[in-house]
Amino acid sequence: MGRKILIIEDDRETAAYLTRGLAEEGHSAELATNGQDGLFRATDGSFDLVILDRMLPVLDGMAVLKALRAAEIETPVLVLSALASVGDRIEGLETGSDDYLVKPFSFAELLARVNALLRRSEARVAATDLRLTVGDLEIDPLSRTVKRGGKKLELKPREYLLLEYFARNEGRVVTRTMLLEQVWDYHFDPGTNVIDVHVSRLRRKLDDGFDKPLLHTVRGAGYMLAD
Amino acid sequence: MARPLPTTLRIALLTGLLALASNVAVVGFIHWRTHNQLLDALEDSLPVAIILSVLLGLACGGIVAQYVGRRIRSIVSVTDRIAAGDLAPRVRATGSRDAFDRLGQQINEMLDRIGGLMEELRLLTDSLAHDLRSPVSRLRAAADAAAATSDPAERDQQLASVIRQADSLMRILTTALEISRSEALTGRDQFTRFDVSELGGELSEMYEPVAEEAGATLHFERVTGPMALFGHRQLIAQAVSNLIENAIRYAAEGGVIRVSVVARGKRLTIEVADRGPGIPEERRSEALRRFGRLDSSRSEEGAGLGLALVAAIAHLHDGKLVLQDNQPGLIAALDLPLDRSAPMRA
Repeated sequence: MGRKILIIEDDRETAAYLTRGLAEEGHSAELATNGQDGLFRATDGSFDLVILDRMLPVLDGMAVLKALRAAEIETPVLVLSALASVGDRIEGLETGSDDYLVKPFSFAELLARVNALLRRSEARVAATDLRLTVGDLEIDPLSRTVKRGGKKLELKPREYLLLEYFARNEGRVVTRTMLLEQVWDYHFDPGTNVIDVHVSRLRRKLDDGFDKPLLHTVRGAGYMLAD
Repeated sequence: MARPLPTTLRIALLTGLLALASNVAVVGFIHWRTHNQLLDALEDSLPVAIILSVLLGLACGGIVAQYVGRRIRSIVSVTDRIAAGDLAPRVRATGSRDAFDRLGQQINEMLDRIGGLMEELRLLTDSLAHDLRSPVSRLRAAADAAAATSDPAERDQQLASVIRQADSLMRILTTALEISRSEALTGRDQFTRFDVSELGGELSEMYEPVAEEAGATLHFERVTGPMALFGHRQLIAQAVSNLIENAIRYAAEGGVIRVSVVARGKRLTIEVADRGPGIPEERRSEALRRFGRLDSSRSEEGAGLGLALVAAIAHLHDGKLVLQDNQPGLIAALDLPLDRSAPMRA
């Protein structure tokens, strides 16, 4: 189902790239090219998601975000920024954005984050069953137990968090940076393949001995848990 | 060695002597008129006294003005040359240790610092320009290869390599940015109080499988109880993970990597020790420099910014990065002041 996304971005090339890509995914994207216009359009609250550039003419991104949150508009906001330092990322997140993506970014990374945010806003509305199931995998977040095909899986605490995050994004691509940020809460870029190592360990526990793999690698993007 | 009197004191003494002399003259004049009317004597002597003191004042003023002017001119001539772009000249001290000498000394210290920073900046710009050439040329080569091939699989592979090279370039630039931020002490407004011991454990747990995959074992030496640090949790985490990654990258064959958090008095040390080849003492300061990678043949990964970033993050926390010999191997120790309750410098 297509969703309504507001893009507030003054750089024409980035805006065109985003609009085209999101349209291909079936979303309808509207564009505002300065902060004031963007804030005005976002305040009616009819959008499912706002993609907000941090450096904008007239009114800068952080000011737009503050104004939106002050007006109690709870639309998820994904901040795009060329400001790449760890401090900038933290500041962006603390100002009330739901996610922060540093330019330049791959479209796969952006799309994965957009989908995660859209899903979250859906989940907020629907009263959720606490138990998570993916195929024959069952996760109980209360007792933090995991069963596959009725058989209990022994996971380390971090492996459990990793799996729970995957399960909450069932059928959606999750990137390595998303995992690092959401599961480990680190906002820097590690040089090694640390995330891959953890995912492949989890995969061994999850899929070994079962005919059907649940944890898939999506080339050039990340991973996906799906039946 | 007899030190010459400070100039100001000399002038004051001179002035005092002259004033005394004029008083003596006036009193002498009065005496000379001996027992004539005292009033007359005073009346007559007054203009003389006034003229004398005006002359004296003028003379002293002139001397002082000339002296001050000369001292200031010597400082101005230096600042003029600095302003014109020549950073080499320094204010000469007269050895009198007066206010002018102190001013000159301060200006010299400032110039030394500026000179150091300029040199560092020049080095950085040079090495950035130099070291970015190889990733850029790899990127270019991959793009060329992708454009030239007609095989779709080959093209995909080359394009993936283009993206990988672009990402690695971005990583170098982000790290360079992070270093200069930390060195300029930006980010202190994001300091929080957190448990370093817990962070160390968390990072060790995160890298333990990576070390194992590389053929090494990673141990974390847990200390009892929390250890509070007032600092930037994300940057400290990045610093420690850089040290662990370095140990895994260069010393995995050494087998054991040990991560520990130790408190010694008012200081706190986060250590990553390995049993790899280590860094010879004479090359340790080079290893801390930006782009100071010791083995230039390791061209694929990183640009030798890792340790420089750790050092910069230590600097942000009023601490330092110390490289030591582990006999054999390397101990990289992040030495930080333990929970500072004192208010932050702005």
